[in-house]
Amino acid sequence: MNRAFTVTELNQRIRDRLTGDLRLCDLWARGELSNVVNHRSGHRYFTLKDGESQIPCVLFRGNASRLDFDLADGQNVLVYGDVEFYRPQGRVQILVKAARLDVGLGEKHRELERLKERLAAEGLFDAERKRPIPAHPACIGVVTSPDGAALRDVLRVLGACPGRIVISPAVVQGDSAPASIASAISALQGIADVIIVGRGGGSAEDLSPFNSEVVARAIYQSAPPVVSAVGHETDVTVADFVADHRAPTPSAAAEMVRPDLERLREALEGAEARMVRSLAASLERRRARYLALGRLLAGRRMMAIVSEERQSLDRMTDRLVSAEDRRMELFAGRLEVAAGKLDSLSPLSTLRRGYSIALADSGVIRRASDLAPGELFELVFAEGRLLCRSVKVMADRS
Amino acid sequence: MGLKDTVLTDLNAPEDLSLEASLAELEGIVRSLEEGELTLEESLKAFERGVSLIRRCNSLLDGAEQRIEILVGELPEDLAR
Repeated sequence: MNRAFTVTELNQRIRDRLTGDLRLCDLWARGELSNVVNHRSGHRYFTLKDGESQIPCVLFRGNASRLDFDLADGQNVLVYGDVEFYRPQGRVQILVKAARLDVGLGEKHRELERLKERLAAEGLFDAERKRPIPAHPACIGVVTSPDGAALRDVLRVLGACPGRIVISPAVVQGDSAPASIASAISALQGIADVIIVGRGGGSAEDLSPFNSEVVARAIYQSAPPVVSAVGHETDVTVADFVADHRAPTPSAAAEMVRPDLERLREALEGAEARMVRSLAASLERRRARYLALGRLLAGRRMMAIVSEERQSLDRMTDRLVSAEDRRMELFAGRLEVAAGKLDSLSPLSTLRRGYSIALADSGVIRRASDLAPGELFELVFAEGRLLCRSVKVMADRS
Repeated sequence: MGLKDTVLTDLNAPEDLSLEASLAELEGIVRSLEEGELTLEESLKAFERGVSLIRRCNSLLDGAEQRIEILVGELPEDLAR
């Protein structure tokens, strides 16, 4: 039999072997925290684990005081340190020198992935259901904390826009946040034309309410389109997937929702120009028709019709001039010019080519169906007129 | 609803219309005028209605100031004015 080691000798040997291995020094390890003990001494003891394995960890007071978060069971963390062998208890452990919260993986992360898969399968993320942001919302709803910077950012960017801004206050962090956000969204139904839902940046924990199913469903069920604005650009939550639009930040959300006033003014000017143009064209058409007819026809009855139309044209010109807008005066001026041109126009040449004009009491007959069978009408030729009676309304010859 | 219906039936006073509603009605009016199917009298009515809608929109834009409300509780002091 070889010489037997004492336990101390054995552990010494194991320790030498481990500490001599550079691959076990200055490493990062990722896992979930459990059995966190904050010892009175200021040292921290905990276990780092994943689905299959675990390893004890020690974090001494000096390093523990430099942590920017409180260790708690269930957190997913990254720890930095050396693997060491604790001889008195024959235990392999990590001597932790630094740690930070791990937003990437861990059980919570897997849970989130499962939620996303489920909601995606149900169609909550479907691109086809994404609705556009209304161009001119009469009411913009904002779901966020009334005390947060996010709300101030949104209001600053929205600025003086036509329409109301209605804040639907929500708790955006902590256990009550998901339900609070969801009910704040439903409170805006029937009020807002578009809803911004969001909060400023924070830790993964802070943003987690926006990864909750209840918030996802509230966004999904919202009648007005929802713009999500959670945290910073790099943070993407379930809310972002369900929302009709995702803004990288609350300010950006406001940017997307804010109506473009410059374009609106241009559109209004365009609409006015189009109205003036088409009314002028239509007046010119009618005026040409009636003036020409008036000269052409000697019949007293027709003169009466023409004179009536002339008067309504004059009346119209008066009304247009009386409109305050200077453009209206311009337009009336153009009408005069048009009227001048009309005097040189005449359908006579057209009539000479073999066309005639059919007239009823109500004026020019444009379609066969304007006349009932048996009704009287006049046919006006280049020379002379015929008094006629309609016999039958027929379809086009084809 | 065709323009004839809107022009010849009761209309909301432009002052009561939202920007969105004014713009939608204006768009319809412009289109009907361009189609040229209206009678003289209808064209004129449509035109005048259009002008008053444009005025309404402009006054909404000119008079725009931020109007903030809160559904529950009080507006934070820094936002109330």
